[in-house]
Amino acid sequence: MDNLTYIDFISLTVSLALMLPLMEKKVRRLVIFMIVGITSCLFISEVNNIFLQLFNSDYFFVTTTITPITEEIVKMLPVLYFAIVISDERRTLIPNAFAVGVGFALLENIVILTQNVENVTILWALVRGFGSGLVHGICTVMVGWGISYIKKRRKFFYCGTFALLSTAIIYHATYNLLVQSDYQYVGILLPLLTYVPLILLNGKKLLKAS
Amino acid sequence: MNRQLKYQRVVSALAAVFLLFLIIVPMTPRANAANSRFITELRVEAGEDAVTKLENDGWSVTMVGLNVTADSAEQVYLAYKTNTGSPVTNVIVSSDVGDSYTDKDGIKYSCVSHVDADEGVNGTAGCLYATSDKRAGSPLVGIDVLRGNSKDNDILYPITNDGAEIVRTTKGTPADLEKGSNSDVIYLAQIRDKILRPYISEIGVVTDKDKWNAVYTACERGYNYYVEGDIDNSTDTYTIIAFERTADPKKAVTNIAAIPAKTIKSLEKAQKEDKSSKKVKAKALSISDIEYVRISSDPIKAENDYYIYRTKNSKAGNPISMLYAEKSKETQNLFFGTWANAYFFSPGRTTAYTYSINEDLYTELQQDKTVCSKIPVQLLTDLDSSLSTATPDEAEKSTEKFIKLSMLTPRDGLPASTLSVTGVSDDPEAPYIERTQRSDRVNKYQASVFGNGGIIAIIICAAAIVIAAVVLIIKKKSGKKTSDNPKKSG
Amino acid sequence: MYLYLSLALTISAGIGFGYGLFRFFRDESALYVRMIIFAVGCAMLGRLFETLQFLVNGQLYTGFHVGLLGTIGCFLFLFSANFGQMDSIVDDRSKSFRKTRIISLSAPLVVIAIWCLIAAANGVNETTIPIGVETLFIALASYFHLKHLIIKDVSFGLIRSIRSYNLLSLVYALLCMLEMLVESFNLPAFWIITVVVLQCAVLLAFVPVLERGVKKWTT
Repeated sequence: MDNLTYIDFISLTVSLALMLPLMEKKVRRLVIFMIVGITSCLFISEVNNIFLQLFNSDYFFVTTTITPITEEIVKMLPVLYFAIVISDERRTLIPNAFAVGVGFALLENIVILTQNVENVTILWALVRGFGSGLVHGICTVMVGWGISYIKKRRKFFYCGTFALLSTAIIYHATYNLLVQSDYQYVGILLPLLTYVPLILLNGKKLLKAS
Repeated sequence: MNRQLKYQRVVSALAAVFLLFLIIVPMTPRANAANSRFITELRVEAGEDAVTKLENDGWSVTMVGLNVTADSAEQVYLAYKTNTGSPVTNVIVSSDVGDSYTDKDGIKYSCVSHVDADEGVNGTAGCLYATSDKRAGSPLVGIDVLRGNSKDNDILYPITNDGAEIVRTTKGTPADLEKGSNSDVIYLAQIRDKILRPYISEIGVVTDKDKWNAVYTACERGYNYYVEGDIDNSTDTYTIIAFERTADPKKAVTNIAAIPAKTIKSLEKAQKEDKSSKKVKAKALSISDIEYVRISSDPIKAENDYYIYRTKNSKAGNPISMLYAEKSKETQNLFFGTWANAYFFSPGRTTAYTYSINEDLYTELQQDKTVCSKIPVQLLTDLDSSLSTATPDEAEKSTEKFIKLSMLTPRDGLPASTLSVTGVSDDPEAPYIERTQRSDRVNKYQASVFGNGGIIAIIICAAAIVIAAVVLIIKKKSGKKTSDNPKKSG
Repeated sequence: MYLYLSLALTISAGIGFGYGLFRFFRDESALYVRMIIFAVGCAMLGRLFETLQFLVNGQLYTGFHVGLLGTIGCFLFLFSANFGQMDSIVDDRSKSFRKTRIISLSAPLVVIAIWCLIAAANGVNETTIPIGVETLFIALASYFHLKHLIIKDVSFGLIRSIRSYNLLSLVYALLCMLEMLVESFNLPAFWIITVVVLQCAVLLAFVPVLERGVKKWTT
């Protein structure tokens, strides 16, 4: 059998890419960022594999110390690039950042699904969807928020982005640690407990604005 | 209210519902199902319609009967229930017929049912007694019937080496349920929760007239594992190393040393002279400032008789996870050979359940290159008075004519994931019998995705980064030109 | 013991962060304040990770572990707030503040000196290098905290009102360094408990003290 990760990648990105010409500009951008997220995941899977070999296949150490760092940095790069080259407007940047995270989580979930196809359940799907999907999205949004200061306040951008990147890494590592431990359910609650207040807060703001 | 806001409200409502689901659902059924994979009740029934009757009453019946008989009316079956109360923590066999039995530690056992396990053979084995007292050990997740026939040269040893514990009698001897029979042997093997204990916690040396008796004695002494192979060179006796396991590396044995009896004698003599008339026995020794305790009461027969000492001091090395004895000089795949004891050639009838767990651990340990390191035990023939440890090379040289004892120890400790593989914790609903598929225990909640060493992704992304950088530079340059010539651009 | 100490720090930082969110995120508030609340939040996440590591693994990894990023992130936020927002308002780069700038260097020097002491005793190895990186960010933040503590107020009481907050931040920076020192030298448990208790107190006091100062901006 060919490499399943690549099969998953091709089947996902090709169908999404074919849809692009028919879309509106804003939606197209979001889908492009999703594809970028998916590609980042493919890239990082190989990078993670190198680290795994470097650390003698110690999965637990690598997934709680190394992969949160590599994954967050790689997910940050397209957002940073967009902010430098196209627009650092927060209203555009944050949904795009979330799309990168979701795209990343999409391939990650599908790869893990194909690797454990005999054992997955509906609960697994909910856990992956709400847990991993949100963690990747939230972490990229965190960094995207810092990046939005790139053109306005350079001083904030440099320090703030790295501080937010650190926060995203710890957040991601905490989730990875919990989800692989006996306290799995707490691991799934973590992103939800962050996402729900954020959405409510944002909703309140939108309500005020309208 | 705009559309986006509506959408966000719907999403947050859904998320909140799921949040509630996650909080309530896992907690409530868990409180009830906490014991569902543990055996909570046992029953022994005999007779033609015993299986139907038991199954109608909601019992799960083991496929293999507790006695060997051609008469179906006398066939005895063992049945169990899960999730009906406190988990059973130990089973014993007693020839008494009372309703309960209290052992020397004050643990009270209740009679499972007043049906003799060896009905039909006029045996003397007696009835099964079970306890739920936590002091008796971890809860039972499985119980299996092991049958052997000496006529068919099918020897059943009372230690399975796969983590299962043979059910003992009230005297501590392995309980043969066909005690009255000359040809058949039937043991019950009980499988406890947290079966995966990678480190060796205690070692003992057992000598008897032959292998079966040595293993029997080891079982009698409470050991549940032994090292394959006779470690003495006497034809009249058979000496084995028996051991127990632990999941706690702090309680693990870290080194063992074989010291010639004559060295010990000379040491004892020196000590005796120092303390005048008192009789001195070197029950503990200090080697390189680390205290070793003797585990063999009598010297083990070899060209130069020797004693075995062990230490748990962390300075002496990493926790030992496996022991191996061989009589030849031939270099083998030590790791494979050692694990094979439990995995392929278990002298008992390895249950499908423990077979699967061993397979897991075997794969995991073999994959981890750091785990397999061979440290020859210092089987020293001429030790100097200071008892300094010999280097592995020296030890290798000195063991040429002797039995070689090796141990398997992880260089940097076992990988954390090995410890976490309990084999039974993933799905608390199912009892062990259904849990034989290795794929059940694959980490489906793995946190990150790992590739297969393909280079294409790295090349594509490296190319993408280069293209992006070029675009950025071009854009910056054009931006600079525009700002340099505002009139032109304007 | 370390599990409980780490848990105490997580809870203290959590309370501080929660209070900050409650007080300042309901309505629009200054970015400076938000950054400081994020700093407390980041410290909380770092400590939470350490607590969970203790809980799951029984110990922290020697050398680098993600928990260290909590302290780094916390001081990066504090530095970012002071350097990116406040410093340009209170320091006009004139010669009159040169003395203040020079005196302020003493804070990072003390911080670096503590790390040098640790490195001298234990050698530069996999444990001291990561905390050396951490020290660098603590030093950067401590410079501005001391500077804003002693600088002459020319901006209508803006900096004077948050002096107590800056003092608290400086104390927290020093306590973080002391924590490293105590752990590196394996000092008796009393010392680590004292340092952690003080850290907890500072983390709890951070936002209320800041709030008191910030209120003066609007009154």
